[in-house]
Amino acid sequence: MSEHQVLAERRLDWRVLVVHAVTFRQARAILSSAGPIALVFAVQGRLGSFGLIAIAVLATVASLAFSALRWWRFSYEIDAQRLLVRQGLLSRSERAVPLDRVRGVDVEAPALHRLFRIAVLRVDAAAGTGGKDEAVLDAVSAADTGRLREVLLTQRAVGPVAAPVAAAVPGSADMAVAERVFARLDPRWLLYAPLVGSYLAVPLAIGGTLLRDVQSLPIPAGLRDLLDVPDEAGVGRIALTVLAALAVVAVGALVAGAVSNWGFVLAARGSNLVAERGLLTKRTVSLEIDRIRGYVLSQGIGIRLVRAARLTALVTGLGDQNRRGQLLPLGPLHVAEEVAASAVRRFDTPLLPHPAAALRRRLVRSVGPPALVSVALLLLGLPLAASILAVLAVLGVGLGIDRYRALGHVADTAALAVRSGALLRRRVVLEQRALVGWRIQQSWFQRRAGLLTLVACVGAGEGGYEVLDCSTGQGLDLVAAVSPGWANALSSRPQFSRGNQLSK
Amino acid sequence: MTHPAAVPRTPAYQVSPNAIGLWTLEGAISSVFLLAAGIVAAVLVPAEAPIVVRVLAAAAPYVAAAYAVVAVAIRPRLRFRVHHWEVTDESVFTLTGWLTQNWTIIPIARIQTVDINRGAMQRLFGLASVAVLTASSKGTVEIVHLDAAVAGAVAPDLARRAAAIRDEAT
Repeated sequence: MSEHQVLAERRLDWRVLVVHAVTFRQARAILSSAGPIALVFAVQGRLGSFGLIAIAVLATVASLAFSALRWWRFSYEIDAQRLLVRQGLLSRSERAVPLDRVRGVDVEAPALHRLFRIAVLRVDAAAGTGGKDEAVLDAVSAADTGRLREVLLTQRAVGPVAAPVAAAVPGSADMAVAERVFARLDPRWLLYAPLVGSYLAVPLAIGGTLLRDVQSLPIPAGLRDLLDVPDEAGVGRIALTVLAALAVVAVGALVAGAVSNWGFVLAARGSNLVAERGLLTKRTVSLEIDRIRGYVLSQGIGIRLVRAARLTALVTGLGDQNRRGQLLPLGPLHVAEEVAASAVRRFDTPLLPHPAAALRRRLVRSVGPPALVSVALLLLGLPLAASILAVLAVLGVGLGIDRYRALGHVADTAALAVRSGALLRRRVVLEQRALVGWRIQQSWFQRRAGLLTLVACVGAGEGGYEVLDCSTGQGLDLVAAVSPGWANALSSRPQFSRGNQLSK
Repeated sequence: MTHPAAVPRTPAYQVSPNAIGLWTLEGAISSVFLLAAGIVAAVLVPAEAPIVVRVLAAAAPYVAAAYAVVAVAIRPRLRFRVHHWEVTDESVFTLTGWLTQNWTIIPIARIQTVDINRGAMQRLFGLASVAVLTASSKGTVEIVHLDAAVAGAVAPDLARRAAAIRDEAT
């Protein structure tokens, strides 16, 4: 039917040509080879300023020409069933993305794109074979992005004039659809950024710098003096280096966090969750609510100390889950929990602790290796190294207890929650319908301790989430609570059904 | 409810007894290579090599022989004893492993594809493996070394039942 013809064959917005020409996007390949040649000429003195200008002009023209060619040969259309993208200069390719396979639509507007009021549209689709596929429209006018996103996500045929198209700059409330805001970034949250786990490597880096620094100090009073008592200038320099390194890292983390997360807003629009963010590059990520199967609350050790957390949605068939599924960048734990409860699912049931045998296993693992090595070193006559490892073994007690206290799980008929980890603590909440299977592992040691490890297999996120070292009874209870029916086979007597008779 | 002494149950069926033959042949092949390498090491070790190297080289054939005994006479039967599988009305269910045991259970409603694999060695012994895949990379089950006729009946049956009650929620 003609009214299903949402968009006839369309081209990308012409303004993208300017952006690409300026950024040499198409001509970069040529430039990389032209650069050294120009350099050789310049060094040999055969290239005057005129020549340099000529090369620059040529490169720009070539860049523009390539962009224009690509733009000319690129078209897309959307009908009731699919998005069709045709492209290619000589060998043409045609990609059809069925609309019912579209899992998410991202709108990304880098600074230059924003200047020209255009944006890049990324369509994430679950391919029929189980692999992931993506179609990229670089770029469409900002005014079109809102409507395109709506059409792609709702699979509704919206007539070209039916939907009043507001000025849809990503970042402004552009849709005429009912909107409910779940979270807005409080700029103070950016202060959490320097505490993120990866920055724990900083002490190591500082140690390395210090070592170099000490070595490069002048040795006027002889090597022994330096090693025993560094002179005061040396101490001052070391302290200054430490402070400077810390400051640089902290400010760097802060700036990086601000650039990517500035203006973060999470809202529900129609049947989608939409997350917007970005200081220079504006990104808008849409997730189909029907496809969300749970969430992960994760806390590195640094941000756990200040009671902050990160929130990520578990979405079936979504590629690059960690980046696109993010529901809240670093924020206070209670806010993250509230967002999870209101945007995904409220699940406050207290977790069941795991048996004491699990604590024993955590302690053996965190204390055992350093303690053994320490004893071995002592026997080898290396008391200093042995004492360092002994300290590690003592710290291991705290780590083991913390890891044990993290362990927990609970389930009702609709969902289950699992928590584990000390250095990276994660609380995963999974809807029961996401479950595609169970895996139960029991080592010889676990068998003796009456424990087992349960893996809930899901078609989202990492594919499987562990319930570490719960008691055998707890494990079977959890399986029975979450998957009544099909998992009964684990504890019931054998049934003699068709499948079994076949093997007779 | 609690089951203090409960463990997950063992699935009802074992793999084809022919699997013992296949595993024995595989063990024999690797034993031959190891024995050859061990004998070569013992014969060719230079007399002026350090004592540690000479002792190790001299021991190599005996270590290889011990491996051969395990791989040919013990391991195949042990493996046969620790591979179990079952298809119930609602799920596919396997148990493998000796020191570490692994149970896997998948509801038939969530099965996406069912594959039959027949390797060259498997064909020699009239065996086939059935692989059951779901939307999760971790939610897969492989029932190894079934009788080819059993695999040929189980796999299509599973695929048909999965198609009939497929649940797209995942």
